[in-house]
Amino acid sequence: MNYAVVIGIDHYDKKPLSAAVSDAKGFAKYLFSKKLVSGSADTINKFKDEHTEINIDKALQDNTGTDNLKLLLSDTDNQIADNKDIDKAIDDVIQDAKKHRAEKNRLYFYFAGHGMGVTYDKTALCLRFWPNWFNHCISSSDYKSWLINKGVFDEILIFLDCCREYDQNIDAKSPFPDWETPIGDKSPNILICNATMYGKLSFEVGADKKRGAFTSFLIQSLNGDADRKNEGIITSNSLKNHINNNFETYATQQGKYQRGDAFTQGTNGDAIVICEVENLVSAHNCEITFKRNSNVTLKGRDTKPIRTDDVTEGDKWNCKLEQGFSVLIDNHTNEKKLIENYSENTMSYVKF
Amino acid sequence: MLSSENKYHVTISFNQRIEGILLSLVNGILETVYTGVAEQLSLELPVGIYKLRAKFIDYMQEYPLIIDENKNFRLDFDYPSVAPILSFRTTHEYFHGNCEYFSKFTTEKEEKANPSLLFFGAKYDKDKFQNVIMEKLLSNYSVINSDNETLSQFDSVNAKFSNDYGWLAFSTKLQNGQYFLKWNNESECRIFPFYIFDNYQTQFFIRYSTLPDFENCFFFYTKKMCFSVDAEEYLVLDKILFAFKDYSNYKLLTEKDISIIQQHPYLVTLIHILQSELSEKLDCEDCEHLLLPDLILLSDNPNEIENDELLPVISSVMNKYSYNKKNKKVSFKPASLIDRTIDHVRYDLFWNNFSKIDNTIDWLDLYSKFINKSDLFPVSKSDNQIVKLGKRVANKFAKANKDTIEVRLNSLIGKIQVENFESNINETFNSIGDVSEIADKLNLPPTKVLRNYETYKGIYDKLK
Repeated sequence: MNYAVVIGIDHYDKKPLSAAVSDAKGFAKYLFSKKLVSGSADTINKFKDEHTEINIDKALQDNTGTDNLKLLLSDTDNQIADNKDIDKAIDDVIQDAKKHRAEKNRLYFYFAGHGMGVTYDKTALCLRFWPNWFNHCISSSDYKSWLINKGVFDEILIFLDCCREYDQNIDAKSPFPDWETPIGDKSPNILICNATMYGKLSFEVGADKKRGAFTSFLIQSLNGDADRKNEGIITSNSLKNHINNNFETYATQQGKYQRGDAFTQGTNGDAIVICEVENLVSAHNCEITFKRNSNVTLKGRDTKPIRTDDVTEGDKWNCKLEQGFSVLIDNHTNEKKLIENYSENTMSYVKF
Repeated sequence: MLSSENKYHVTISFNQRIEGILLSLVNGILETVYTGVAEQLSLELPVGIYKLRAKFIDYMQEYPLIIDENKNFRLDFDYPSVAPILSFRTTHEYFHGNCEYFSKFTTEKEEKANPSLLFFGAKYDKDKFQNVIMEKLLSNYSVINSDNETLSQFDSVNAKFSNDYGWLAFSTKLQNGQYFLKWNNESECRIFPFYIFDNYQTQFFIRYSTLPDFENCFFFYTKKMCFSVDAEEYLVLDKILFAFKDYSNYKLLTEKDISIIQQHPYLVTLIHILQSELSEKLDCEDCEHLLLPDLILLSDNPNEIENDELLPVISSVMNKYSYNKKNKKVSFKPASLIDRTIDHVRYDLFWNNFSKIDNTIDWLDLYSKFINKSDLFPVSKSDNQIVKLGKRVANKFAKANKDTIEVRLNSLIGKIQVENFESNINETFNSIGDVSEIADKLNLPPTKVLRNYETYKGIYDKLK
């Protein structure tokens, strides 16, 4: 049985964010649409209004029912998320997983909001009333311990899209419920993906800062970019490597310096099969939009020209690119742009 | 797979000499074919599209390389250097030429040779940030002496600038001693302490994008008595500061860097602190070093500070140092000034990186009262360096008069008008004396008690 606890907090009094809620919705939507977790109609309604390429209606046909997706999103008219909201969501999941412990249980824990790096292992995940209540935070390491200690999960995947700036004085809270006594005897494999290195910041990007750099990259990775060997699956190992090797480049392209920090734990931590990659139905996997009037050549990874043409502003080229590098060259100015196509099964959108 | 039959000879080098640049080369099928520290590469490579990634300190740049014949790539590395050195994009002649000139002659109306202070501010890119008008920035800056008197308010007479080329310079001759460079606009204020020493030129560099880049501005003390575009020591200072930020970056310093450090007493001082902290052998033990008062406090002979009025302040380097020490979970008892300084540092980091989250000026008068009431802290040999520093800073403050204290405190936390002045004062005044006691009893950091004094005082009273 798969479960997910997905938290997004934008509505901090003194330091509101713009992208945490939409990122959490995006991640929940990804899990739901890929049938990695089921959700109730109420839960799904929380993200159904969002613009997306994912066809939620199609996914709804066979993916609603048990509410295994706990979606905690801040809003102006609620006080989500507080310790008790999160503790209740996790406790509910644990109690249900206990009933299904004969099955393979997986939990996704996702948090987008403010964070502080207390130690390398302990990130203080800031809750709604931080920083007015300076210690209104939960400890990522204690909550991870809770999930492990209970012994009801085979696989735990943790995604933290928040800053990890140093702050040793902050007193991040442990769970309220009994988080130490085991229920089952499972020893989970674990994947932990931090948006940024210990002591560093995590950024919102885009003109309206409506998306976190890390979650955008994460969802593209899970959609296929992390499948570098074309195995048709994303494993914890391939996702970890993709984040550690390529997120820095992605963030730089968004004008931010940010490196992800992903690692695995457990005897087979690298072997978690997170999802299958769907073959791209479209005849093309790259859409290039031109912002210039010029003559442009697109070269493939073997340097042979794929297409040369005059372009005017607003023109679009749809191309099928191989995995790897291609390059666009403005034949008038000799300006070059590298296209990094991590997977042939994901769409890339390039502006040149 | 790409054909490996035809290989081409490829050389890659940079227009800038950068010691310690990390290069990695990825081929068209996303395999890393080279990674290492090198100023240039000479490789045999199959035909294909490649990506070169160049990384120096925390700046990274990537380049597409099309390899379809033997090629020599000569690339520009656009490291956003704050000092206009070498040939970075931020170094153009209109920056470095003026900086060099006004490091040799004062900017004042009656030009004099050999200024002891050089201030140089510039945009990161002259063609961008159109809202930044250099002439309008002049009034933001002034130099204050240790008696809190304004010596120079930058203006179009005593400073030089170019709105078109995006730079401003101020240079003057000052007597030895401690001074403050003050920046303020309508709502914010920063005060940077600095020193003037015999036979040294004190230099301050700051860059502007839309806003002044306080996070990367710095002081440099040079015996050369001038600035030169060829100087490599500023790049080495960047590396040292990067290592103060995170000790693991110490490994980025190369042998050539060490040889540069040996020629600059200021850098020798900084590297000694770093090396002693890392239990590394002192590379430049016999080299001349520059004893900034902050750093003297760390030595076993704090009385070496000759001028009693030359009160130490926490320089930006020491701030980073203190901050790093805090990460090592050094305990701070009692609620010393250094503890609160670190609080300030953290808030300041917030301030730089996010929107402002707390009004640091709330602490200004609270500090003043605290210091006025504080007793001298006995310094023990067993104290670690940072505790020693904290105690000595606090003791120095404790001996100074109220006005001096306020000036010094301004240097730490900036001066902004306080709301609820009386209640803040009273609250803190009441807290002085038992913050440490409460913190100790409840096993909490003193700053935490201070922030939530009412709450913890209540708990403490119930326990009594």
